[in-house]
Amino acid sequence: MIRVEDLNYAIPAAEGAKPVLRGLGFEVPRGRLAALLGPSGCGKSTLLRILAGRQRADSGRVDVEGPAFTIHQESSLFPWLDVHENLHFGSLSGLDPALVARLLRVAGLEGFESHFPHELSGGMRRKAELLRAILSQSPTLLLDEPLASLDALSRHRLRREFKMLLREFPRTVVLVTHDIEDALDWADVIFIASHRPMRILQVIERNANGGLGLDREGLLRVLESSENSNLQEKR
Amino acid sequence: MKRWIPFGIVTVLGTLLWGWLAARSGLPEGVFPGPAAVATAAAQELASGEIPRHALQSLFRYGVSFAATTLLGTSLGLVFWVYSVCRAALQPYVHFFRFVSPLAWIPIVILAFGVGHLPVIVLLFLATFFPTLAGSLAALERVPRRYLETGLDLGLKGWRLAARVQWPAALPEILAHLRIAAGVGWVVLVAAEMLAGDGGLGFAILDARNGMRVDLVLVYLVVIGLVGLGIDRVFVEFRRLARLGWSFREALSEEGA
Repeated sequence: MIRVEDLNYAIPAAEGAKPVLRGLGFEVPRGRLAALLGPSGCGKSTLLRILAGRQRADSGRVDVEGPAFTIHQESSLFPWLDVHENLHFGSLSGLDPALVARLLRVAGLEGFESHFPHELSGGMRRKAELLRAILSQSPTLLLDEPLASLDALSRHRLRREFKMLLREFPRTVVLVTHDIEDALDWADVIFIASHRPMRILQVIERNANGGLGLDREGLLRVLESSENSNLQEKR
Repeated sequence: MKRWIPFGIVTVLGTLLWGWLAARSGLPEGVFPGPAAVATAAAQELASGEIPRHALQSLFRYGVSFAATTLLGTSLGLVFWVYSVCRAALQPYVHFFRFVSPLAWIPIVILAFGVGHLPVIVLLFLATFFPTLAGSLAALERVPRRYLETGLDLGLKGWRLAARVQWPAALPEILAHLRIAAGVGWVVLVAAEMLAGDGGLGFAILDARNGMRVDLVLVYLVVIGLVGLGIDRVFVEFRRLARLGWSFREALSEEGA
């Protein structure tokens, strides 16, 4: 579970502190995937760094069931290790070979265990990273625009396969993105974030039938109206 | 066209031009020898075992010195990275000595060690150690933060993080620095052997000059170049290994993605 209450953070600068997060608050129940949808540069990556415990907030409260595992925008599979070694990295007690084999099969990476990251496609690298995150046993995953560098079809396939994996190995996930397809396809709950200083403008939750109650156009309208009201407030 | 064809054409034309110039210069063969005279001298030196003897002597000195440079330069880089106080105290000295020509050490080294293997090894070490240490440190500092953060997420800290993530991530760049140092070292070795050696390829060139044997000077010049190319080849082959050459392949695969 992740709980953030009244979080404030500002970047110190010569001409005065520049606020990045102001009074930010939200909650992600255990095992749910929350998408944080906001404009570029609104402070999403800063928030992830605070959730990961790599950066201290100025004030407020952050509860993250840890340790958290971050999947970065660029591949962070270790390029000097093959897929098998990457998946087993950091595991002192050793992993269950049957579990690793099953995960590889589910992710379509069976037969690629001895391949190095540079021998895989961008989509395969992302899948291997997610498997490593799942095998790390971290209860919380922080995804920083993990599909940003992929083409539309790869993104679509990966979202489907990630969802399947997360259904089988539930984790609390915060997905930071500015792509509405990621949010619509993937999230149990969508937080619409404002421009910097970031705060949550609106929360859209999936209903009991699994629907969000709005489509692509609907979400775009929500984003537009949120942005307009945000700008009016600033004026 | 195969890569060796232009190279072969240039070599044949260059040798013909050299022979023509030597024949037309009007200078005696002892002053400006042609390709045939140099080839004859090379054959004689090979048959007498002089070329292998000098080459092995140089390679022994080079090997001992470069092994010490590799071991100390790269491992101290890691120590400096882990213990920032070491870096703060000693890094300015590393850069200071990097700019002191190894040849400037010659009087002190000869005074301290005389002539023979040891002064050459010490000079060569001084020429390669400081650039290797500075390069290793720079490579370690340039490792992308995401690899370190992933290592932390996977439960590594301190020395384990340094040895299992920082070090291998920096290794391709460290190898590039070692390759440059290897080239510099080979150049310095010849100069050091001329001044403080009692054998080796540098000494052989000096000896040939003292005997007014320009043909032998040219023979050893070619040997020095060929051995240097061989040393560089070792580094090129290292890059082909998947665990070391990944930075180049990764860049290529991402461009093509």
